[in-house]
Amino acid sequence: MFLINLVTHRNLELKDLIAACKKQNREAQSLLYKRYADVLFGQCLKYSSNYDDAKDHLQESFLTIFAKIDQYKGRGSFEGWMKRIAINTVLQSYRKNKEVPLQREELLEAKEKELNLDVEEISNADLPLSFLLSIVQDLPERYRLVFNLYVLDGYSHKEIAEMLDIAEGTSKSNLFRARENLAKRINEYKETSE
Amino acid sequence: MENNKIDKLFRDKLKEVKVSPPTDTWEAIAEKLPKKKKNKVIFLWWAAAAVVLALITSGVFYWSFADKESQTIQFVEKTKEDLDKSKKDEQKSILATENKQEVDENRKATSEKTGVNKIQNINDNSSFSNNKAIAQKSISDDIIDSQETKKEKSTIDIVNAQHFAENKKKIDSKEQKEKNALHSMQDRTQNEATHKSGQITQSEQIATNEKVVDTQQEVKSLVDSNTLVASEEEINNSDKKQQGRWSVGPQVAPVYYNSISGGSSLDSQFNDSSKEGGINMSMGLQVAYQVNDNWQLRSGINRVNVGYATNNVQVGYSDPILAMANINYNNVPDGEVVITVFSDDNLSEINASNHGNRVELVYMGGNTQLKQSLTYIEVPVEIERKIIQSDFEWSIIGGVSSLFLTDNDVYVTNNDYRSNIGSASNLEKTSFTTNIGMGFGYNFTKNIHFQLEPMFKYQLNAYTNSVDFKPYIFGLYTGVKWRLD
Repeated sequence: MFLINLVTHRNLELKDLIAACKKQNREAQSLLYKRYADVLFGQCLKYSSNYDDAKDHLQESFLTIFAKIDQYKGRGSFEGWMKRIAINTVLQSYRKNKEVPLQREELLEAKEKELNLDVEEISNADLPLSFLLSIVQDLPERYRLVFNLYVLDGYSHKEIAEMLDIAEGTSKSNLFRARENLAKRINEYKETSE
Repeated sequence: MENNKIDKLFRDKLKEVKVSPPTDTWEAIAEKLPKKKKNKVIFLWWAAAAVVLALITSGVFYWSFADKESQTIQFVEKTKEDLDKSKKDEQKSILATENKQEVDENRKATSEKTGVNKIQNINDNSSFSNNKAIAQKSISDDIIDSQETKKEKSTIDIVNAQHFAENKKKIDSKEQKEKNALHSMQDRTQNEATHKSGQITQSEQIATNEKVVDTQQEVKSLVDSNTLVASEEEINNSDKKQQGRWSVGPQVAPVYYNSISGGSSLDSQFNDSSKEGGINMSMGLQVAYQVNDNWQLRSGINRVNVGYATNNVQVGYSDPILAMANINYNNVPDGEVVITVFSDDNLSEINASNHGNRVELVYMGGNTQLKQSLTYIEVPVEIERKIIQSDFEWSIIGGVSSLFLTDNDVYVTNNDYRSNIGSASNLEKTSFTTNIGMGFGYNFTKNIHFQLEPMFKYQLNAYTNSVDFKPYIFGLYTGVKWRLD
C-alpha cells in the first residue's frame, strides 16, 4: 500500500515518511535510510576512530532511530534528532569500552593559549576533506568526542562533562589538546605538501 | 583567534559532511529490524475457518454418537422384554408339559399310542421353535432323537408288558378260578411296572422338555434379535425409500494451484524463474441430488483462493515501458513511474541497453517474491458414481466448474511485509475447469454423511492472451452432508 503512495508522491513529505516509519513499514524505513544515510554516516565517521566502527555505529543508530521513532514528536529538526541518536550511539559504545584515563590531563590547566599555527594560510587552502576527517579520527577517543561535541555539534563544556562523566576542566583540557593535535597534523601536512 | 580559526576550518569542512556508507549497510540493518507481524487478516480467516471446522466436526461426532447410544439402549430394553416374555413362555410350556404328562401318564399305561403322541408333541414343540440357527437345530434334533429312542424303548417295554398281561389273561380265562389270586397279583405287578416305566419316562420327559424349552428359549431370543435387526433394517429401508433425495452441507479444502507448464502468466521474463504453487483455501456449500442408489448429481458454490509465487525478483521504480507486462499498475500518475519487479536476467539486459537509469531498485531483503493472488466463486456441476456402497463408500466424480473472478491482486512480498503493485490485466472474468476426482465417504448415521474427495481441476480458459501458464487446482475437499427429509 505504501509503495503506491511513494509512486504518487515520489518526493514524499517527511512527516508522511516518519508516520509510515512509525508503523514499521519496511519500504518507508528503506527510504528514510536512503535519505539520511550519508549525513549520518558522515556524523558517525567524525565520532569514530575508523571506517568499520563508523559503519557499526551507523547500523546501530538506524536501528535505534526505527525503534524510537515514536518518541520523535515533530518538534525540532528531525535530522538533528537523528544526529543526536548517532552521538548517543557512539557515546554508549564509548562508555562500554571506557578506556583508562589517557593522561593525567585533569591536572593540566586548560589554557586557552593560542597555538603556533598559521591557520590563516591554510583555512582556505585545499585541505582534502578525507585528510581532515582522518586526523579527527586519529585523535585519542576522548579528545575526538570532546572536539566533535564542542566544535561541530555546539555542546557546552558543562554538557560534555555530564555526557562523558568527566569534570568540566577535563573537557576543556581535552579540547585544547585536540586542537593542538589537529594543528600539529595540519602543519605536518603543509610541510610535506610544500 | 587561532582557536576560532581551527574550529572554523573544521566546522566549515566537516559539520555537514556527507559520506555514502558501504552498500551492504541497509541489508545489515534490515536483517536486524524486528519482523513485522504477519498479515493479521489472513490469520483471522484461518482461525475462523478452523473454529467452524472444529464445531462442525465435533457436532457431527456428538450427534452421531448420541444417536447410536440411544439405539443401543432401545435394543437392550427390547431384549430384556423378550427375555421376560420368554421366561413366562417357558414357565407356561413347562406347566403345559407337566399337565399333559399327567394325562399322558394315565394313557401310557394302557396304550402305545400315548408314546407316539408324546413324541409328536415334542416334535411339535421343536417345530414351534421355528429354528433358524442350524447349530441350535441340530442340538434340538439330537434331543428329539434321544427322546425318541427313549420313548421307543419305554413303549416297547409297555407293549411287552401288555403282551404279557394279555397272555396272562388268556391263561387266566382258562384257569380263572385257580389263578384268580395270581391274576390279580400279576395284574398289580404289571400295573406297577408300567407305572414305574411311566414315571421314568415322565422324569426324562420333563428333563428333555426343559432342555427343549431352554433351546427353544435360546433360539427364540436369537430369532427375536434377528427379527429385531431385520425389522430395523426394514425400517431403515423404508426410511430410505421415504427420505428426500436431497442433501446439503459445507465443504472446505486446502487447494494447491500451479501450472502444468513452467511459464509465467505475468511476464515472459519470469518463464525460467523459480516458482512455487500456492496452497490456499476453498470454502463453500455443496448440494447433492440422489438420482438412484449409484448416481448422484451435485452442485454448490465455493469461494476459492488460488495463487502462485515467482521467487527472487528485484523490486524497483521503473519507467512503465520497461516494467513487466500483463499488469494494471495501481495509481500510476500520468504513467510516469511504476513499482514493478524484474528478473535478474531482465535487469542485466536493461542495464546493458543503457536504460539502467530508468530503473531505481528498492532493496527489500530476503527472498522477494512476486505473488499473484486470485479469488474465484466456483459453481461446480458434477456427477458421482458409487463404486462401493456400505457405511464406507467409494466413488468416482467428474464434472465441470464455472469460475467467476472476484479478486485479483499482484503483489511483492518477502514474508515480512507485502505491497500490492496492481492486478493482472490478462485474466478472464469467467472461466471453466474440468474436474475429476475420487470420493471416500462414511455414513455416520443414515442422515449424516462425511466425505473426503481429492479433486483435480484443470482450468481451460484462465487467460485472455496466450501465456505459457496452464493452471490447475488440486484440492482435498472434506465435507459433511445432511440428508434432507
